[in-house]
Amino acid sequence: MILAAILGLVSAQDLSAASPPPALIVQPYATTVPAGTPLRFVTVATIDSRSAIQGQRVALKLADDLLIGSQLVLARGTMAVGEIDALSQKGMLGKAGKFSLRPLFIDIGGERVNLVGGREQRGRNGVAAAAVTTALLGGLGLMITGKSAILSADSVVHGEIKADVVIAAPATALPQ
Amino acid sequence: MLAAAAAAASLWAQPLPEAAAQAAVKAVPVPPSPAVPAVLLPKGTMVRLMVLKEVNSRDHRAGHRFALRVDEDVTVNGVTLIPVGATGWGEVVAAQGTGGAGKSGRINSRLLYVDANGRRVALDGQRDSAGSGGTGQAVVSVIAFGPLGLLMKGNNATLKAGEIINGYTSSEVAFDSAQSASSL
Repeated sequence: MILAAILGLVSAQDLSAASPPPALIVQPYATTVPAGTPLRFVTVATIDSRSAIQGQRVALKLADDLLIGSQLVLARGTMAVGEIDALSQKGMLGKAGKFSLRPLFIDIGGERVNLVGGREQRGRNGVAAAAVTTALLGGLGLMITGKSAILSADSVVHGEIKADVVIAAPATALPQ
Repeated sequence: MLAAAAAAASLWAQPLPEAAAQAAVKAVPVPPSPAVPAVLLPKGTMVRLMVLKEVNSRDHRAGHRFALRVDEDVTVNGVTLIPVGATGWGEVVAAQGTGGAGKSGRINSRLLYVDANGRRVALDGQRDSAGSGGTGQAVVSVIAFGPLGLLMKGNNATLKAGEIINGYTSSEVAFDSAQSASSL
């Protein structure tokens, strides 16, 4: 009788020891996002080659949810940082302004997820107008410039994840 | 009473030289580093660099090395491993001068390394730049000046002072955390 009671106690202890601690279930799990995963960003503000400077950082916003399987890894609207990589101003002889914008990284709690990709934006070329004006009016036509490059807000910039990265899943649930 | 105290004092005093001797013996084979944990700078970490002095396709040829300055702290777990102001180096890989009919110059350069906290961190990264100009501009100048317009050259390619280039560390580097902290 006593033995059976002791055995019962022991088995009850074993069971309680075998059940997983609840903390493990609550913790969000991390997802590996492979290099080359495509991401679509949009610009937050208008960028103009007249006022921009090379190396300037600009805000970008993730345009779509990033799902790995059914797991939401990065929610739409997550902010990213881009940079004006190269820039040249408009000039005489119909030269148009241009710049290239590349996504740099997404900052997640101080950890950076590096990105590659980008887009180039050019203003309208004024070479034809300069040529015609020069033919008609002489040297005055040389003064004609092209247009500055302008990228309006909400313009799409394509990027990719640069290297395999582990991202902790956000606490927010998937919208149904 | 006094004798007992003296005996007790001698008992206390005796183990000390032995311990010191043991410590001295032990200190020889053990390297001093294990007490200081290393901080790892992962491969692929971005380093923002600024060109300090203009590099152009007119004055510089392949092999020319130019200085760069780190423009943003690189921190790992709150420890600054590469501080702002650290010196880096880049190299011109290919340079092409300007030519007639609006041909513009080109310059290709790559990043080499950054020196910080007594470590040399190798970098990946390159920059291709071309001078403005081109056929369109040559056509306009021919219309304006006749055949003389063909003599018009394009512009040299330049890496202007203050231009930003992003590099990425090409391998994992271990930093001495105490050294990194003391240099802040």
